[in-house]
Amino acid sequence: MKAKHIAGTLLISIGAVLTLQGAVDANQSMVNAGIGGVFLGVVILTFSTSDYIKYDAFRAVVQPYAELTRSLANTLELKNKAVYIPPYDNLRDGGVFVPLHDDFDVDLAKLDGDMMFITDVGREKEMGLLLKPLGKELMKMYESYSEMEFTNAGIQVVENASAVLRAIGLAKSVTVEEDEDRIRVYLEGVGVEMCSAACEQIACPVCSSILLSIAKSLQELILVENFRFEDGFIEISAKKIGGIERWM
Amino acid sequence: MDVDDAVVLTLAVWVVITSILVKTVDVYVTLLLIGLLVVAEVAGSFIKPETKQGLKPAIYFLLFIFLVIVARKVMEVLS
Repeated sequence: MKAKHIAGTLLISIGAVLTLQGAVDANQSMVNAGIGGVFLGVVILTFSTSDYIKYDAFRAVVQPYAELTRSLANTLELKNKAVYIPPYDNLRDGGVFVPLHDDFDVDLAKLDGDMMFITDVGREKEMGLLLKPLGKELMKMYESYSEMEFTNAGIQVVENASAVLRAIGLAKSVTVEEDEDRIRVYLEGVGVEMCSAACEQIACPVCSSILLSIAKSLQELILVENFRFEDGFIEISAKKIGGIERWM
Repeated sequence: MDVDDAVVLTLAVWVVITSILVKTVDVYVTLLLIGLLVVAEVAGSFIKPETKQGLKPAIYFLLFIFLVIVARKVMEVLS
């Protein structure tokens, strides 16, 4: 049991006893002190609900996985940039499709969550790598914080990610701009130092969560065009390439 | 000291000051509610999302008590 749990429980217990004693003795100050104790105990218990690991530990754990997935894309000689697929019946958490060729096609009706290497297809331009998005858990946190599902909620809801990313120390702000079929995302104060040119194929969990959120909020497939990064600032250019029905 | 500690410390100071200065329970509970609302609003962007969610039941409970206090006062005035 953590110190915060012990302190919170102790304060609630002492507060409850003081409140009861104050009520019996008709001592208003004691009742107030008791209520204050219970109040503080509840606040302390609330603040001890979860712990976040230190950034160095996070990086040490996540970076090898990110490198593994990127080396997978390199080994398969995938040349095209990633396509973010919003969640739909076959892929409940959405997906990231890295096509084999620039001139690609994807049949969403043939995909499902158990597939990874899309090779058993009639045409070569449908081949590629299908991954679960690395940012799906972060996106769930954004939705939980916003108290709404992002499905068809409009692109601006994605900026709610700012509050979550700032609170957990991964980025300071997220700005999303939409211009017809073009999308630009600006991430400032990004604490994750694992972005590289490979992000255009397999992005880090932070960028992946933003792109997946955009795909979900618009219910459209998003093709990554360009990643630009310098000193904690990331600019992502992406393009809307049509809804789920179009790719079925 | 991180934001969580600062929030708890601020509320602790607020609780001590109000319990010294205020003598009636209804005013005291209302001041606790105000303190909690101010802290949740000011520090809301810096505390963990689940902590912010966790504070909501406490806020709703204190709001319920506040409504009871208001209703009692209205009844007193009407009678």
